[in-house]
Amino acid sequence: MKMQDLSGKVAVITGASSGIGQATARLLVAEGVHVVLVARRRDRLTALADELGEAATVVEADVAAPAQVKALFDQVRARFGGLDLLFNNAGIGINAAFEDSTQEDWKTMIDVNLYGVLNCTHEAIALLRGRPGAMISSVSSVGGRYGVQNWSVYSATKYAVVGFHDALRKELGPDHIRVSVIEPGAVWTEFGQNVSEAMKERREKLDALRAEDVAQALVYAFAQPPNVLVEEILLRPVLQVAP
Amino acid sequence: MDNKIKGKVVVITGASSGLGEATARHLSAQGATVVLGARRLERIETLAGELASNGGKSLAVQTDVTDREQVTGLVGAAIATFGRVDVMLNNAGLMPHSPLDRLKVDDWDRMIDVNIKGVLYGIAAALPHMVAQRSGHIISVSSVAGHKVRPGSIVYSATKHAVRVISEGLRQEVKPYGLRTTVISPGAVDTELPDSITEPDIAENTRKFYDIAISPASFARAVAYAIGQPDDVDINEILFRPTLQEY
Repeated sequence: MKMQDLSGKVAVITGASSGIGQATARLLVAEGVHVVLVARRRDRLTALADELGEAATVVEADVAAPAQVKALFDQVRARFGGLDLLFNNAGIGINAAFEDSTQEDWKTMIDVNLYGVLNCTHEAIALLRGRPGAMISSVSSVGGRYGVQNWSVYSATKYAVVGFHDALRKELGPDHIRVSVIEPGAVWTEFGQNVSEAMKERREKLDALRAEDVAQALVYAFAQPPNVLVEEILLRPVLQVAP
Repeated sequence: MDNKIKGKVVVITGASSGLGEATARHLSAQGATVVLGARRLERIETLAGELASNGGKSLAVQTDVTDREQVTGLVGAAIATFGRVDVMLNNAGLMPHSPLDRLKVDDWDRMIDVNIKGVLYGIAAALPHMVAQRSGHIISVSSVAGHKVRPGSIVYSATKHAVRVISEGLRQEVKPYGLRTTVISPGAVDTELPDSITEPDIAENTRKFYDIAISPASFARAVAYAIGQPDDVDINEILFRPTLQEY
């Protein structure tokens, strides 16, 4: 009853320059997957690719920019002829009471967390079609299930991702493309701008998840046989109660 | 990754067939000690014999989950024999679908007794030991029907919604003890579940729907994934289904 052999598969990972994206890249390469590392920070991607060797390709792109996303997937098509996994991981959270927040910050979060997912998914579908076990997986959050104070707009984008996936799953299921979402609680990453000292302390107190723990969830879902769709995994540190 | 499954004592209700049986095999193969509970003693004794012949440690205890004393006895037997209980898998379930206007009230009662009370009795039996141990993992089985409702499956859906609420509430309560809680919601899996339907026409429709059903091994892997994570990682919810299942 072993997991599927993933060797030879091709994965696009957005937000691959740090945190969950980076950990996932490492884990997938260990499983024999070729990873296309996507982020804005080329130097970080290059350092990771140096570590991973021939199993990694670097593509600098901003997922919020449709032209850059199109160029990314054109490159994937030209080089690999198809795609087995799109991991929509890039995300931004800017912490603020809504009353004090700015339209610019709302736009930044909506552009990356929602438009980023839409841009990449729209380009990827044609490449995923006809590949056994193909999957689109996106990182939402427990903030996509529960509203949390000072994360209102972030939460709105993550709720949007969950709703988008529920509909997309029904559209793509008949084509055997799996649509999956991962909802982590507190994770130790660079994630979160303007995060207060109090919140940093909270992460410490909760003994937050490591990026690898979330990466493991992605690998578990991806490694299921093609007829098994892991629609949703919600995970938290054992000590996290709320949300 | 270390094998976090090896050596754990796992109590499984509904272990005589389907999800429970597949999970017992899968976890035993990875070195877990499995304590098998079900009404059909012969089936679980045969399974225990098979696991033993492959070098697995196990125990079969005849258990009707609608009887609190028997569930307490199942967990008690695990403690008496193996000294602890690391995982309680509340798996036993029934799914006798029918529209409400057919008034199959006996079926409603059985679903409430097995699917809800059975889970609560499992928690009641395992929780005191886990609290005392300051470690443990309670896994309960909901369903895609625990997330939505469709005509003809209302009482089943209600019981599976209840399981999800119980598991989530339990999660919030047991943090001080460092316990883990998981609720797994499968879609159509190839088990005896449709055989519990007492209305012939509904049974036939459900079997057709189950054409796309996936192997019980898919459930066993979900359980193994949740148990196998590091102690400080709590896999709270897993929802999975056949790729082709829209509902």
